[in-house]
Amino acid sequence: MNIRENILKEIEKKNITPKPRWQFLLRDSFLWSVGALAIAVGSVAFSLTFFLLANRETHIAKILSLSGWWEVLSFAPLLWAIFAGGFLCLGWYHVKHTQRGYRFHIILVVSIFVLPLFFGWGLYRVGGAHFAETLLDAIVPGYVTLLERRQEMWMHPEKGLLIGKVVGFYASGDVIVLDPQGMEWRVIQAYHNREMRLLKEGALIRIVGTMEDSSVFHAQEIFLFRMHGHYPNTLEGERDAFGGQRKWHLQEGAL
Amino acid sequence: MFDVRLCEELSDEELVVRSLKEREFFGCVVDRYEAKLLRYILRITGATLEEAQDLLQESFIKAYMNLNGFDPDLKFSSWMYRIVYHHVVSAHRKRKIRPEGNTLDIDDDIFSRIASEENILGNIESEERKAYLSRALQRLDEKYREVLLLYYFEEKDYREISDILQKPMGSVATLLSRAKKRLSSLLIREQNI
Repeated sequence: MNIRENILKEIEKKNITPKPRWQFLLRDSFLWSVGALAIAVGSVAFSLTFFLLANRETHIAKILSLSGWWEVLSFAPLLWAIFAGGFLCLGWYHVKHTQRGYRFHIILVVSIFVLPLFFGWGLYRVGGAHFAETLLDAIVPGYVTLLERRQEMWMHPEKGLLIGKVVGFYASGDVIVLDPQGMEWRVIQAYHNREMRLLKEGALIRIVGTMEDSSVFHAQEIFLFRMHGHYPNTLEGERDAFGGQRKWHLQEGAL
Repeated sequence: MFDVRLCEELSDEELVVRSLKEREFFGCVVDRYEAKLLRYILRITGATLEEAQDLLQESFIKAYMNLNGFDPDLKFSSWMYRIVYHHVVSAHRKRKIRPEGNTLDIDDDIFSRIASEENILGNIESEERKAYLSRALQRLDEKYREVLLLYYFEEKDYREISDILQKPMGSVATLLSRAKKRLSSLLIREQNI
C-alpha cells in the first residue's frame, strides 16, 4: 500500500475532518487583539511613567529624609516602565505567532515597542495618565496616587513644608491657607515672591518656610502647586481637580 | 466518480479547495508532494526510511486537518514544507527521531549550484569534493544547515524559506549569508585534514 492510500484510509478510519475555518480566524483575531491590547496598556503604562517622572519631587524627599515607602514609590515610574515593557513583550510574542506575523518583524518591533512610547507621551500630555491614576485609585484598593504622595510630602509644617489652598487675605497681605486636614494657617510672607501675581483665592500653593505655632507659618518661598499632565490640563481644571479629590479632606464649611 | 487525471489539471490552490469538499482530491496533494517531502525529511533528520515515511504520513494528516488554515498568500508548497518542518522539529523534541541528519546525497545539480557559489572546490576531484561538502554540511549548526538545505537542496528562494521557517526575510538573508561563510570555512578545514 502506498502513502497516498495509507493517508486516505487513515483519514477515513479515524473520521478526520479539516478544522473549521472560524477556528483559524478566531485564533488569529485573538492574537492580534492581544497585540492591540498590549499596545494600549503599554501606552497607558508609559504615560504613567512620564507623569510620575515629570512630577517627582525627589529633592523634597531628601530634605525630609523620607525613606521606606517613599523610597519604594520613587521607583514607581520604573515599575510602570517595566510593566509596559513586559506587556509589550507579551503582545509582540502573540502577534509574531499570527499567520503572517513573522513577515513584519521590523514593523512589529516598531509598532509594539516604539509607538506606545509616543502614544504614552501624547496621553500624558493630554492628561490621560492622570485620568488613569484616578481610575486606578477608584479600582485598586490601596493604590496611592501621585497627588496623595505629593500632598503627604508637603504636609510637614514642623519641617518647614506646607501645602494648602488660598482661602483669603489679611489686610496686611498675609495669606489665609487651608491645609488638607482642614486647618487654617496664617502665612506671613517675608518678601514678595515671584508668583505673587498668581496668588489668588482658590490657588493651590506649596510653601517653604518655618512654623511659628500651630496656625502661623513664615513663608520663605511660595510656589503654585503644579501638576504636569494634569487632567483636565488647565490651571483652573488643575485647581478644581485638586480641590475635588476625595482624599484631600477639604472641609467645605471652612472655605 | 473521482478521476485521478483531474489532478494534473488543477493547481495546488485548486486542489486545496477541492480537497475540502472531497477528500480524494487530497490524495493528489499527497502524490504531488510525497517524494519531495520524503527527501526533505530524510535530509533534515537522522530518520530511517520507515521513520521518515511515518513522519511524512503524520505531516500530511496534519496538513489535511489544517486545510482551512492555508493562507493563499503563501505558496502551497511553502505551507506544506512548513508543516513538515514543524512536525519534524516537534518529533525531534519528543526524541522520536535522532537529532543528526542523514548523510546527504548530493547530486550533480546540487553540487554545481553550491560549488559555483562557494567557488573553493575547484581543483579537487568531483567525488572527493562531494564527500567534503557532505561532511561539511553535516558539521554545520542546525540553524545554518536548515537554511542551506532549503536554499540549495530544495531550491527555495528567500521568500519561501522565510515562509517555511516563519522567519523574516532579513533574518533568512543574514542566516544564509552566515551559513555560506561557515560552510566555506568548514570546507577549507575538510580539505586540509
